[in-house]
Amino acid sequence: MKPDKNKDITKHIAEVLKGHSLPYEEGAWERFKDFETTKKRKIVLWPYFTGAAAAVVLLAVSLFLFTGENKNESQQVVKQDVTKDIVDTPDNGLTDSSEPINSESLVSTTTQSNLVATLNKRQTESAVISNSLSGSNSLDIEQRDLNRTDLSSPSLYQSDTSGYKEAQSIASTEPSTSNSVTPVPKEIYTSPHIGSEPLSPHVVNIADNKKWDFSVELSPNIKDKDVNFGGGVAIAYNLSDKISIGSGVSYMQLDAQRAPNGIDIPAEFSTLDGSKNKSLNTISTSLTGLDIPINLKMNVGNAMYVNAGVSVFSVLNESRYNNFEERIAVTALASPAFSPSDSRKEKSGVEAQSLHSQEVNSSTPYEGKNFTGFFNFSVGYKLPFLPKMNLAIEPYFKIPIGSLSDQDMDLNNGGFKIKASF
Amino acid sequence: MNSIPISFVSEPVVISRDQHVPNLFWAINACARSNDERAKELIYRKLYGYINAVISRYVKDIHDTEELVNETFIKAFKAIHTFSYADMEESKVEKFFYGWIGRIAANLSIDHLRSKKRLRIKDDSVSEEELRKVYVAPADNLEVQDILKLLSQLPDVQRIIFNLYEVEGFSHQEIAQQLKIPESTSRTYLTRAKQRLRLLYSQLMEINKRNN
Repeated sequence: MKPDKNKDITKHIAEVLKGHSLPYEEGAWERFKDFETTKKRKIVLWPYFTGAAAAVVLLAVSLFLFTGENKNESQQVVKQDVTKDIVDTPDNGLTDSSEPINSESLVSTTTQSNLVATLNKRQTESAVISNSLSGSNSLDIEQRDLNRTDLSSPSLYQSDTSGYKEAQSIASTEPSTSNSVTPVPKEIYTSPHIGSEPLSPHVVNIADNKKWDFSVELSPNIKDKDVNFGGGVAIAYNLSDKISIGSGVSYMQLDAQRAPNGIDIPAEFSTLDGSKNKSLNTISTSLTGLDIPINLKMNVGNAMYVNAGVSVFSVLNESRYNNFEERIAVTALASPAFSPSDSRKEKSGVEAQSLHSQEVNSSTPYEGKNFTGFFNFSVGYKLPFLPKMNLAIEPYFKIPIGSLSDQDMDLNNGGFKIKASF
Repeated sequence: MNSIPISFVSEPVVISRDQHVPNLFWAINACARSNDERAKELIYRKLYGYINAVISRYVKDIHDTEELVNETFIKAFKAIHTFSYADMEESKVEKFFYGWIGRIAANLSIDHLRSKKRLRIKDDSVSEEELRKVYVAPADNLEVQDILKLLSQLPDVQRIIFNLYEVEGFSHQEIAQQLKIPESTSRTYLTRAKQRLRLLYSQLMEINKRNN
């Protein structure tokens, strides 16, 4: 292009650039086909990979932690068996099978067994008791007699303050075949032979404490006047009575809209008749994606809790629409019920009406992108629902962060979750 | 539209009397109607250079440019059914199609720069010195490559605003809405972009003179 000497260089640059086109590079179409195939595969498969990876990590962590707990439990059983031996040894030597079994030793053994059984889960009662009694060959007491004793009776913990010797003497006065519960002296738990640490409360706490919470959630999402439904699964690990850390995966749909700007596809490309009465009112988008949060939960009182955290949001699909409004002139029909005030309208005989229409917008800037995600805040209230399940209602608010906040739509949103925990 | 030709682009096109020469108008139709692979290939080959040039005006990295070119075509093919051209002359359709796909390319380029955090726009005003217009006349031997080099030396925001206003033809109001900046900021950056281009151009001419 021959430059115009009277023009400024910037105008000349703009003109040159307007007409500029680069040559076609050989192999570009083939590379495009590869790119398209790879992109399609990437879009389709990555959510599954992410989900699978998250599931594997959660499973691994769960197994590791659960295995750790079981090991602790088994260690406690061993400790209690040793304790029993220590308690048994001073007096009657119950572990020695050669000695005759009298009622005193039998009651003593039963008492020890009860203690061990109390400290362990019910499923292991029989095994523990059998192990305790295995040293006495001549022991003819039936297993069911032992099992019949009320292991969880409060009397086990509410015995009198007499010592171990006294307990033996009390036991010796009762018939050996008695099925009633033999009171266990408190000193057995705090016996000087064992050490001063009280066994039962600590062990029982570990057995009963729930370290993991699984929940399924339904989360209606409210943005402007649209309500969308999403949902997912969540898992939480209780760090202490008050605090837990949680994660999960949830499917989410989010709608947003904004006023158009000049960069949007111009109306003349979308308008069929080229009418100037048709105008682009809003651009709306509907995103669907996976939200993977990491939350810190703090219990406030028995039923309330607060949640705060961040989440990664990956857009699986975006549908963007241009919303048009068209003003059209409609001839008013003559009506006998016209009031005097309508006489002017009747004379003109023409009314302007708005027609709203929607077209798909080609631009989908969110689709296929991995956005940083959201800041998440929520407050929950637990409702007792079923014996092993809690129902909670959790209002929440999500604020976009990272590259998600840089985009053209305002993606602040909120709603409330309905959460069922197991 | 009559029958669709059996082959074109990579194979020799046999034109019978009842067939049209495969052109962009046919390809847009065929692609919109049936997602025809051959039509896509024709569009791609025909518009590749144009799209590449549009994106090169915004993005400097050639690897990013190639990826954005392909992204542009993917989005365009996906949304081609929304490109309306009813009651439009065939000759105008091609022109509008260039504009339509060019805007997709420009939008993607701006989104790309935004995602890379390259757009840091300060809301400050232009100085009196900068406002003083000093016209610099273009030389005869100014090549496109020289112009692209000059353009690449502009900061990202200045380059985008110069492209949007001077090349694409947007108003400051439209640019302000797109970039979420005040109109005055758009004007400021355009003035700076022009001043910088004049300066860079003068320096380039000085170097050329010395070399000659």
